[in-house]
Amino acid sequence: MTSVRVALVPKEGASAAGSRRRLLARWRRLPIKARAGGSILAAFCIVAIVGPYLAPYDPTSDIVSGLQAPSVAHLLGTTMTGQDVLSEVLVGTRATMVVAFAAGALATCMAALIGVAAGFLAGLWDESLSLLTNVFLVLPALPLLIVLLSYKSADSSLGITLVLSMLGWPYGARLIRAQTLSLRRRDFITAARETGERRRRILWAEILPNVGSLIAVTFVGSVLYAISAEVALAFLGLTPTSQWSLGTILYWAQTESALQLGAWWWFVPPGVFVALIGAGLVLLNMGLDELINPRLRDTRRGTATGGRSWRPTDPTVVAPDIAAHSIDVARHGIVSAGVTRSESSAPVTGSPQVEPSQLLLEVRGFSITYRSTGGAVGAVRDVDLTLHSGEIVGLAGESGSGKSTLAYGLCRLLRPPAVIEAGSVNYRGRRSGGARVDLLACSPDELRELRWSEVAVVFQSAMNALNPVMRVSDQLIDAIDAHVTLGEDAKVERVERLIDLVGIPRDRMGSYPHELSGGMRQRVMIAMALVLYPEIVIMDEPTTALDVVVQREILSQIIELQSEMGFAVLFITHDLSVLAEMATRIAVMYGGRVVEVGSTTEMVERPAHPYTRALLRSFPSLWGPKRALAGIPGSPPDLRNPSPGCPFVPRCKYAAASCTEVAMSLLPVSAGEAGHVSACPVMLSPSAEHVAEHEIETTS
Amino acid sequence: MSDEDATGTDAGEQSFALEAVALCKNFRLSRGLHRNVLAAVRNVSLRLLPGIVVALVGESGSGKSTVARMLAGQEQPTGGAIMLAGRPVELGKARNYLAYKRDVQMIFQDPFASLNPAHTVGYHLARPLRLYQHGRRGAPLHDGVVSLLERVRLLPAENFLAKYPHELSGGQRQRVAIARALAVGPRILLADEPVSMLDVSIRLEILRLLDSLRHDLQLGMLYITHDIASARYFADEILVMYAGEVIERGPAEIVTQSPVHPYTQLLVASAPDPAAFARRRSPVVAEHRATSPGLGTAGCNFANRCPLATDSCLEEHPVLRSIGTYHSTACWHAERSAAAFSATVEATGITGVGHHSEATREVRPHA
Repeated sequence: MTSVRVALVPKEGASAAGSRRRLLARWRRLPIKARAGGSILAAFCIVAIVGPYLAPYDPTSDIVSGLQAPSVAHLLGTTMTGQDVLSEVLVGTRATMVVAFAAGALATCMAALIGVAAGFLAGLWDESLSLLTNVFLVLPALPLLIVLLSYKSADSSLGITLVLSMLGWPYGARLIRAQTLSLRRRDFITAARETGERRRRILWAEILPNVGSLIAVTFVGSVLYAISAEVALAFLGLTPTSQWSLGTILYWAQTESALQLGAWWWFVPPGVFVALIGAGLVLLNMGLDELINPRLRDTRRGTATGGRSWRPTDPTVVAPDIAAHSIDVARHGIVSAGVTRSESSAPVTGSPQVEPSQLLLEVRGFSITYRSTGGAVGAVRDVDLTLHSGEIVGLAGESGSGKSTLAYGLCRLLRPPAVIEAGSVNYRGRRSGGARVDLLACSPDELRELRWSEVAVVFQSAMNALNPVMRVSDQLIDAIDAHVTLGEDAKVERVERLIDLVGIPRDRMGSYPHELSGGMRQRVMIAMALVLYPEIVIMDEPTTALDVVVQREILSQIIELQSEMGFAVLFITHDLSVLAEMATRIAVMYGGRVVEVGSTTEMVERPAHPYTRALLRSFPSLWGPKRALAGIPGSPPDLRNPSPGCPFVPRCKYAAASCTEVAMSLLPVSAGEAGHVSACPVMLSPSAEHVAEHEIETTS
Repeated sequence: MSDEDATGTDAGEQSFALEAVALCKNFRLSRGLHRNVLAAVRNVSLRLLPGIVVALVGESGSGKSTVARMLAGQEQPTGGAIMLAGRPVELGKARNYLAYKRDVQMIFQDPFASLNPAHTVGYHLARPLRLYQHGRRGAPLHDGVVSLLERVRLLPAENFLAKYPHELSGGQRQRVAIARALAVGPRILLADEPVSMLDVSIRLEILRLLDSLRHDLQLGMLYITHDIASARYFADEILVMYAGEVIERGPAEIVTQSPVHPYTQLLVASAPDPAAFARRRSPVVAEHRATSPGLGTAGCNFANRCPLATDSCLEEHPVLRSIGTYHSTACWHAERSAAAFSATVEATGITGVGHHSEATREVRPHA
């Protein structure tokens, strides 16, 4: 496989020292468990190879008469018949290891062969091979082993190896089959067929490399199984007792009542050896697991740091103190500009029930980092954002811009390895009497109280967020029960009202999620979010997976609901054109930062950041004359190695040398457009008139 | 290719095309004891010519991807025929399949799934070159791979050879996938939603790449999308599919600017569009999910969602009929529908781009 893989890789001329250094570096990158397990196993392999030559005595001959405790002559003492225990263990390790590794290798080969064949050939092959696997899986292993070993033909190491591998393969075969089956349906297999690859080649070159790691895990597991089975069988005296293995030593120790005699030196050394080999295999297996699935590793690491980092760094932010707040606002002049602007736009958007200018949510200096072994990724960096009652604020950005991380970070729904580094999220709900609550600082109980009843979330994938085995109406009632106590009638009434509001026919209330169309499911999700009449609804791409026609219906529904119930919406999407039609204000994110905020009209008609401008020009328009479409050359930023200054510099056609030096901050775009702030000083400078003209080129 | 094939292509060079003639695909569904037939594609005909892009537009489940898979030879049609350069395509034998794949290649929707995570970019491109250009090894193979990478503008190409898919961004992966499809030197490219999984800022770059390829290499292209606005820019002809059938077809500008079928009109009105952010919300048509079409459904599939539907629509199945130059639709009320649409356009002024600020306040939720 390796030779195939590197067929086109230019080989670097490597010296022996260089390759040794690389090997060492690669070894260091392995998970600690894999390294520990590997070292233990390597040590035992060495013992197995050289042990018999190091044995000071012949383990079969009686050196002294009778049982002797450890001494200088016999480091681990002697047995009842006067044999040297150290020599026995050194010789026995080889026999045990040889049988275990041979049986493991054989079982893995069978597992791989049968698993891959069943998964790849599918159909009747799969069914018959799976049947075979399952039959072997339910065979009672130990009695069968005993029966098989009682035959004379099995009376050798080879016989034991064969029997152990016969019983060890089905576990691995099942895993490998499942993996192959899922790989077979992947697009890259179809793509290989498209290029005209033959079946054999697809199996060998496309599928096998992807099950390789699973085969390695299977091998380690099989060896572990074989070693414990071999030792157990030998201990029971089912293998030839005249051949030394770790199990046979234990067998003799047991037969001659070493335990009763207190001759610990007889049974402890072989026991410890078996335990150590087993531990080495288990560690190696866990290490391989982490290697295949790096999430396992990062989650654990992340939990350690994540717990600490919930606390905001600045103690003045924690205090629910209005005075401190006003100082903060004065310090962040730009943020207060945002507040003023929203006040002036409020008459257009404020719903009648709510104080139009009420500041609901205020995010300041918010930073979130994903910490993994590969390095830290600053997913959200120093973000300021405000949300007022009755507003729809759109958060636009591409994948990796940090928009979803930001939104989930607000209500602390992120899991490790995400760590909130800094910032404050101040929420002033009506129910908290206008007092300020820092969502990042409040206790888990307080947070639970606020979540859903005041800040609710509509997730992108309704199918994943809904419980597939519960009726829609029951799920809605469940959501009510989790937070408030209501009478049975009141609950039903509320659920019915919401079902009507979100436009689900009443007769669908008793349906299960899978019986509903995508659009209907998303309506259920919205009803779920609204069931406690929250103040803020965070919507994470609620329409992305839907067809345009359904998307349009859901969007109109959201606007209608919002004007009726007066909640504020934080609408996350990659689709700026959706926001242009429904949002009050739009914030555009790029590379973890908010690069521009403004009212929708200003953002669409007078975008002040090159990224916003380019993004708007990236949408083919259905209406009017065809414009020249520009697109944005280059790739999204690599957040692991953020370039200094503005993250958009590498793709920006207006970038100046100073752009990589300035610290990012949001500046007012013009005196007349309060609340419209942009992070691009180049576009805002008075000398940039050539850039500022809003060009609409027309093509034929 | 065998000699026989070669002469055949020579003769058909003038009229080289990949054609679908009344393609049908039925899927058998069995739920418990009930056996159902789902007509995923019904009587779809289209013709892909060198240098021309045909867009197949429709919602998910409309059968557009099934058409592509049949044309790519991954799915066996249950009716109709596929013709390449005027000859019916038989893909039974491995040799025939390879010969067909030399002319017809496909690009997949998800660039994260269509490249094998275990192989380098270089491997992905070298394989088809080796398979189709026997004996290409060593330096010529290397040069071939490099020129492919340059063609899809992954520069400098040498830097990408040893990279694994996970080291590339979505856009770069899709470029590799396009390069792989180009490696065999196809004349037809089937692109199944090639940009829908990519970020907005990347989409146009990929579409522009495909556009330049069709001009430079005279590729015939089938562009499958749910985004009718991108089809307006990228395609020459648009076919709109609904419930397995083509319900409207015509030149891209005509289908998008004066759609006739009520479903096409709904599609056009629903498309989000920043340039028209000020327009009024489109007339909302009640959401009825398309009942899964069985065989022999009487009447028009769209009738249960259509504002213009009459009794005759429920009884008689409309077929495509010409309503203008190269423009046809499957609707009994084409004339009425066209008139209704132009009236709406006039009333809302949605075609203009200059009236933003006036109308903005009207769309706001609390106006």
